[in-house]
Parts: sequence; structure tokens; C-alpha cells
Amino acid sequence: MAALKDLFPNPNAAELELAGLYAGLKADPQRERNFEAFAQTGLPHTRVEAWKYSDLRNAVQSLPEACLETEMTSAFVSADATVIEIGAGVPKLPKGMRVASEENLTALGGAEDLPVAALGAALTRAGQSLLIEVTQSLEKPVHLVFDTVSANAFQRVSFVVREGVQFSVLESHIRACGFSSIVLEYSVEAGASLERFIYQKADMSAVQVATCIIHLADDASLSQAGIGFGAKLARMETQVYHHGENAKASINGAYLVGDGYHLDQTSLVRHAQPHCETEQLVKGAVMDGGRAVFQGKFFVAKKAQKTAAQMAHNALILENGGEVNAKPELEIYADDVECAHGNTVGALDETALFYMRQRGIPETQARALLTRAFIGEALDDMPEALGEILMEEAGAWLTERL
Amino acid sequence: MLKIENLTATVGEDDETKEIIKGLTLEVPAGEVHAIMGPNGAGKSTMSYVLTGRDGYEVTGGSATLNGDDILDMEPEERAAAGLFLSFQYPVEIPGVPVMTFVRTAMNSQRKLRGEEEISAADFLKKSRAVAAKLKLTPEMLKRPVNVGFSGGEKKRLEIFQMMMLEPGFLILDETDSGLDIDALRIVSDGVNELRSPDRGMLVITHYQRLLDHIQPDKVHVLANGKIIATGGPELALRLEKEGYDGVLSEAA
Repeated sequence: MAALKDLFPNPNAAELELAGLYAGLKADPQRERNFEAFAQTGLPHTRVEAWKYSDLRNAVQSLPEACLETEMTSAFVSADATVIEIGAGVPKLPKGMRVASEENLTALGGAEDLPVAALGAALTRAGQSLLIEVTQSLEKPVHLVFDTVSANAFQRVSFVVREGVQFSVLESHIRACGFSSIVLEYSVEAGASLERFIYQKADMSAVQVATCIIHLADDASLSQAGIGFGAKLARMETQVYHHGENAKASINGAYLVGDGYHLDQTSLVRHAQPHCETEQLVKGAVMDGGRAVFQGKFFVAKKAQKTAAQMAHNALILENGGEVNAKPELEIYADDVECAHGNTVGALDETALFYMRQRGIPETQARALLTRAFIGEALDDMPEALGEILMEEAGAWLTERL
Repeated sequence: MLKIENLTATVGEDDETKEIIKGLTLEVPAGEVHAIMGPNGAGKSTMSYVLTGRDGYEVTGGSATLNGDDILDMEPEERAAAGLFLSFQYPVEIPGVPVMTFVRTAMNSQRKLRGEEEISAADFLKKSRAVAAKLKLTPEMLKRPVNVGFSGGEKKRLEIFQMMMLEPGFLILDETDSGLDIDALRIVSDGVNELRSPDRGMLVITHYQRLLDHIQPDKVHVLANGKIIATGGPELALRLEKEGYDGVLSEAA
């Protein structure tokens, strides 16, 4: 333990508790590598470039011992999907999926750049780190439900989507309190496709980090969309690697952030091979006292010619006092590519509001309708039934607050 | 029906405040169509925004009532529910909100404000189909977001569609003829004429006599420098067309 303590220059109470949790787990060289990767940074703070808008260290002062029971449910409960609970032992899986390993204790790739994911991987217990193989396309989407109520949750699920298989997954990231770090990995093999739909909602006391790393092989595709409402601090991070040629990724998302909430959506897409496409559209709105962070980066290697990559982030500030931090980035080393990014932050169109009111729609309802339509564009590519579930939730949220 | 007395109003804030309406008096009885003509900058659009309650337009004196109710104290949506409808010179795009959703929301909001029951989905659909057919609007157009990607003529037809769906008691048509070709002008005018009725009033704001060939007014008012300076029958519009505003303006002065 002494050596461990030395890893942190100035540990805060939470970091010491995390070190304590680690010390109590079964020793394992991979676990150790993951924890050491975390310990290099500790809980990241604003002086760590990738976390400059999200001060995790400040948000996690100490770990709570227990959560008061708070009822929180995911909007996806009404979706027609096969529920898989993560963290409640080895799950029963539908035909076409199998647990390849219950102790997926490989070291996390690129762990040094993902300290919180490395922490999540280091602190998984038995049954909370799964390697799942998807060998055939399923009839229904799978609905992953992560631990919602344990004071602290560290889970890791890795999927291998075999060649040509279509896999559709709904993720419910719900937290009632405490600190969680969830790590997801999807390895999408040649010609396979992944649809990933995300619902994030948490109590104002929760600190929640979910990191997803997606590998796309030749001709693989990813279609991602979702909605987030933030937490005391929530960071939903997505990393996409185009390892093969002709892979396509669309990573969209919507957010609504209210008073006292913070939502960070960070993404990194690496184009390592030629002829791959990425499209990203993130749209959201913040209320007074809410803070949204968008960090998006496209990295295009010298070899990745004919890359087509578009990034757009558009935010609405619904009330004075709402805050949006946006950092779109392109880092391009190839010379024959079509890449662009756009970013806007603004208010609702007053002329449109007046037009709607002149037709008899009360102001609050007009604002809700316009905002809902605005963020809804980011969910347009979702299957209709699922998109509607999220839009209804967005509409209710807006009606309650505007 | 609509009664405006000695109305004064300003536009802008603080140092930028400018008086645009300077003692406007006007009455449109139920069943009548009145035209308002006037040179650029006379205050025609300002008058329509003041009457409908747009932010940034402040009433500094006088009164305006609809069926005896003071409309100047009402929110814009309350004025709409009371029956006031403004057809915009430049109809506004509402991205992401389909026409049908928009009109149904507007209709039910107005009904709610008036303490009436909502329209059933079936009744709404039936009514919208009938009205759309008259205006040569395709079902596909009604699924598109309001005014987004619509041509100038389509936007004006969509304004008429909303009027015919919402059946307001009093219509203000602000330069409805601008940007219309002859065919579109006919469709739009036919729609407006169909709405003429003994219990409905209309104020048609226009620059040109052309529209008044299609929508014949009972009275014509000339608005200049924020007030009505001349009132007459349809012949006044013809005279304006021939002589321009200068003749009437110098007479009034």
C-alpha cells in the first residue's frame, strides 16, 4: 500500500479510498497495469487537457458508503428489447450471444489516455467484467442496464461482433448517487454493424463516467445516437477507431442540461485507413445553472486518404446562466480528404417564437416545441420507435422546466 | 369589431426608441374588409405587430379593442385565441416542426385558452384534407417542417391554410401579395374571399392596387406617418395607383 500511495502526488480522500478498493481486490498483473495507468493522473482535473471543462477530481471528494434509494428508470424500459443486467452475476443471454470470459482482465488499450476508464477496468469484481461474443444477428435489440444504486460502480463489458453480424444495443446509464466508471468495448468485425443507442440520466449527486471504445474493421459500420441529461458530473466518452477500409460511423447525440447538472460529451475518432466516413451531429440545450461540454476530435492519419468526416455541434442556451463549452478539433495528416467541423451556440429564434404565439401557442409550449425539434435532429437517424421514446422524454423534460 | 383609437406606439429600446404609430384611429365592423395602403415606412407592418403583441413594440397611448375586449393587455397567444390572426409578410420557418403538428397544436392551444374541447385526431385530419385540397397543398407538404424549403407562393398558401383551419374572427393580411405570381395570387385571394363572412372582419395591408382587384375592400385607408390621413371607397385605391401617394399626402397636409 505504501507504494500505491506514492503513486499519487497529493491524493484526496476519494483517491485514497479508490486505492483502498483496489488493494482489496484479487491481485492480477492486468488489473495492476490498469490501476497504474489511472494512478499516473489520478482523478483528472482542469489542468489535464482532456478534462479541462470537467473537473472530476473536484466532483469526487469522497466515496459515499451507500445510496439513498432513489427511483430512477430508463426511458428504454418501454422499448422492445432483451434486458441484460450488468453487475448482477453472469447474465443469461439470448441465442446468438455467449459469454466468452467472465473475467475480462486484459489491460485496457490506450489506458494512459483514459485514466477514468482504466480505473473502471481496474476495480471490476468477478462478474462485472465480461467478454461477450455476438455470433449472429438477433431478433431484438439488447438493452444493457448498468448498476444504478450501488454507491460506487465499476463495470466493464467487451463485445466482439463477429463478421457480418448486425448488433443493436440500448444502453441505460442511470445513477442514483455515488461514483461510477463504466467501460464498454465493441469490436466490430468485417462487414458487421453496430447500432448503439444511449440513455443517460442521473441524480444531481451522482458522478458518472462511461467510456466506450469502438473498433471498426473493413466495411464495418456504427450508428450511434442517444440523449443525456447530465449528473453532478457526467462524462459520456466515445472513441472510434477506423482500422479497416470503407468503414462508416455516425455518432450523434442530443442533450438537455438543467440547473445543477453537468454533461460532458467527448469523442475521438481516429481514421487509420483510407476510404472511411464519419458523421457527427450533436445538438443540445442548457438551462440556467446547467453546463454542457462538447469535445470532438477527428484524427486522420497520413495513410487515411479519401476520408470523409463531418462534425457539427449546435447548442441552445435557453436561459441566461446556462453554459456551453465546445472544443471541436481536426487533426489531419492526409492530403486528399473531405473534413469539416461546425459549431454554433445561440438562443431560440425570437421571430419563430412570435410566429408560434401569434397562432395561439403559449410561449412556454412554443419554446418547448422549438427546443425539442432542435435537438430532435440529432436523433433523426434512429429507428422511429426508439427515437420517439427519447423525444417524448425530452418533451416532458422541457415542459416541466420551461 | 376591431376598434383602434388614437393609438401611439414606439419601436426599439432606450436611446433607439422611435415613435412609429402616432395617433391611429380606425374601425373595421364585422363583415367588412378594409384595405390599408401607404408608402414605405408609413407604419403598416408596425401597426400589425402592435396589434398582435410582438415584443419590442410598445404602446404608449390610445386603445385597441376586438369585440369590445382590450387586446393590448393580452399576451400574443391570448389575442390569437380571441380571434386575431396575422398573415405574415414573410412567413417564418419553424425547423423540425411539421405543418400538421404545428397547426393542430395551435388549434388545440387556442381551444384550451377559450375553454373548449380539443379537436379529435379524426376531425382534424378530415378538415385539413379538405382545406389542403382547395389550396392545392399536397399531403407531403403538410408533413414538412413549417415553411422550411417552401417557395414564396407556397409559404403564402400555407398562411391561408392556417387561416382556413383556425377560422379566426379577425384577419390582418400583411402584404400577402408580395412574392406571388398571378396563379398563386388567385389561389390566395380565393382562399381569403372564401373566409369573408358577416361575422368576420379583415384588414388587408398592401402596397398595390393589384391585390384589391381580387379581394375587393369595403373601405380603403391611407396610412402615412403613423396615422390614417384619408379614407374612402375602392375608388381611392384606384386613384392612388394612378396618382401615387404624393397627391393624397399633399391634400391631407
